[in-house]
Amino acid sequence: MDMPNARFLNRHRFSLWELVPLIVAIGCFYLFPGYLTLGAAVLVMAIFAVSLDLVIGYAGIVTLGHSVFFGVGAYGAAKLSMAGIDAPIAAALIAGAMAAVLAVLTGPFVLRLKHLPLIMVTVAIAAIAHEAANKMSWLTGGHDGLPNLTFEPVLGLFKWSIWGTTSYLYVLAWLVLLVIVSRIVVSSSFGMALQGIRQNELRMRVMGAPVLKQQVIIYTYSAFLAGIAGALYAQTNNFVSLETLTVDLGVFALAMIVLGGLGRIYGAIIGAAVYMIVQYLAQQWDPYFWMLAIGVLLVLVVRFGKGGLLGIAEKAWLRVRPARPAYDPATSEKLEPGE
Amino acid sequence: MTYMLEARDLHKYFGALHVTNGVNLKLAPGARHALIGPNGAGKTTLVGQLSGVIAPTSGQVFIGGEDVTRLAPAKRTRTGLVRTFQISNLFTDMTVLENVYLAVSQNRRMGVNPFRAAGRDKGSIDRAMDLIRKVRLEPHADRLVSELAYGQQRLIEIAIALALDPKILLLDEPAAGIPTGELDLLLRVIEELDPSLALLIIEHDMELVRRVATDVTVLVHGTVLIDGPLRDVMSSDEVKRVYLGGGEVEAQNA
Repeated sequence: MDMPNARFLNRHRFSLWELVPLIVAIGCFYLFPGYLTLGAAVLVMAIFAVSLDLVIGYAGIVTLGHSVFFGVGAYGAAKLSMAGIDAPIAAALIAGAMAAVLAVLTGPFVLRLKHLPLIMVTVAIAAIAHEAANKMSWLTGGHDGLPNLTFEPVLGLFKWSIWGTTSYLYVLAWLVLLVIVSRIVVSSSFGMALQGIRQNELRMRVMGAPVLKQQVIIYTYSAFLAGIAGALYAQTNNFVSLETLTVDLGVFALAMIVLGGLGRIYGAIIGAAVYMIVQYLAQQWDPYFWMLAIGVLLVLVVRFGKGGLLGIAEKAWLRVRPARPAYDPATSEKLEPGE
Repeated sequence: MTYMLEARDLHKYFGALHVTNGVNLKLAPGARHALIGPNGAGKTTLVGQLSGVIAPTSGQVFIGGEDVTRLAPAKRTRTGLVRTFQISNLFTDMTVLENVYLAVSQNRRMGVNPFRAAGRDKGSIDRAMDLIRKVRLEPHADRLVSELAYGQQRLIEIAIALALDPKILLLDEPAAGIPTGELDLLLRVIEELDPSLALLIIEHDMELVRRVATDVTVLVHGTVLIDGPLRDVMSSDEVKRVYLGGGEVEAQNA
């Protein structure tokens, strides 16, 4: 039977385009050897942004409290290292699992809320977590954080260096792996159900979809990713502080995914990269007013480009790309960028 | 006998407004039942109570003899009670195939498996294509539903409803907004439904009611004015006076 060229149902196929970000990342490794620490920080935030995009962009769960999972992962990895569990990959997986457990326990309650109440409650939880970590200085080190963390070489082979060489490649490998898994998740029947919930939740309920269960699953998976991002932050910086638990972190990540394009995994990555690089350059320009640059960029992108930077890029590509005779013109017209 | 769907003495108040007033309704297997009544008679509120979206103030709803009055809409769907919506309520950012596929895959409980690619779920895709063919929308399968004409969107509603394997199907004004020329297609789709399925059709278009229904319930001000076989109801003077405005000709154009 001919299967029509439905966009969603082709999504599980990987395209060559998807190698472009990887090639760029490897190119940066060779071109900017002096900036690999910054590069590793960009990649950590890219993982965090992808995790947030899965809940906000795909499932329509608007949360501003995702920093909790990042912080749990960061402190989790730090405490593991202090307890002698300092193999980085295992520690990152355990730290991610800690965040996931927290999500699976809180999700069934938090996710009953929608819209503004959900946003307010998640902000409140993030603020409480930050303050609690501050008060429990016996556990978290309070304002001083947990410095001088040490981790074993990656796989026992690759030693950490002050140049960030190992950090960069290590985080990049995580990002590639997590993007591949996330790609599989969002192109599954489950991933499609999430988008159905985002577009029309009532309709999904009437169809008999177990909406809350589906939301808790993605929330938990997303928390797992955020926890790993937090752990990688701890491992690449050798310290953790209350910074990893600030509400701001969740807000910045939201800005990143809006900038790159909501509901697109690669949008989150591009958004994180552009945000972090603009932030770095703007801080060099003016350490006090650097947010102005981000603000202006965000306004321009939201005003002029539907679908963020990735949406703008796709539109530009559709305009210049050569005609594709394999397509029925009537069909290709409908293959719009967007979802 | 056990009815597929039964409403017993349903009442619904919105504040002081008595919108459903002691309604009884019974659908046997294979029923082709129409619910008619003037605007504001409370037809959609009644459908809401049957499908579980609105809780009745008092009274009971039974599906296959089981009391489902307190059952949520999703669970009622699982028991085989499926409704369409009066206003198209589709996933507008998705294609026709994606819309129907979503319903099929939810019904098959594929919606919680994060590792099975939707595009490799050939069984569900084939089933979705069969349903799309049934409503004659195959040429449009990969178009976004927002690009389709209203009448075509109504047909997608029906395809989605059928994807949920209904035993009882509630069609809420399926002909509303469909141009007269396209009504035949809708009729054919309804005529091809599984004969054992119990159908309740809420409709203004009397032509459609005449051609589809064998039994009719007339609702006026939330109360059942009359119910019975199509011919008896249509020839009832009371119905002509209250609902049809007194004339057969007018009724045809209602």
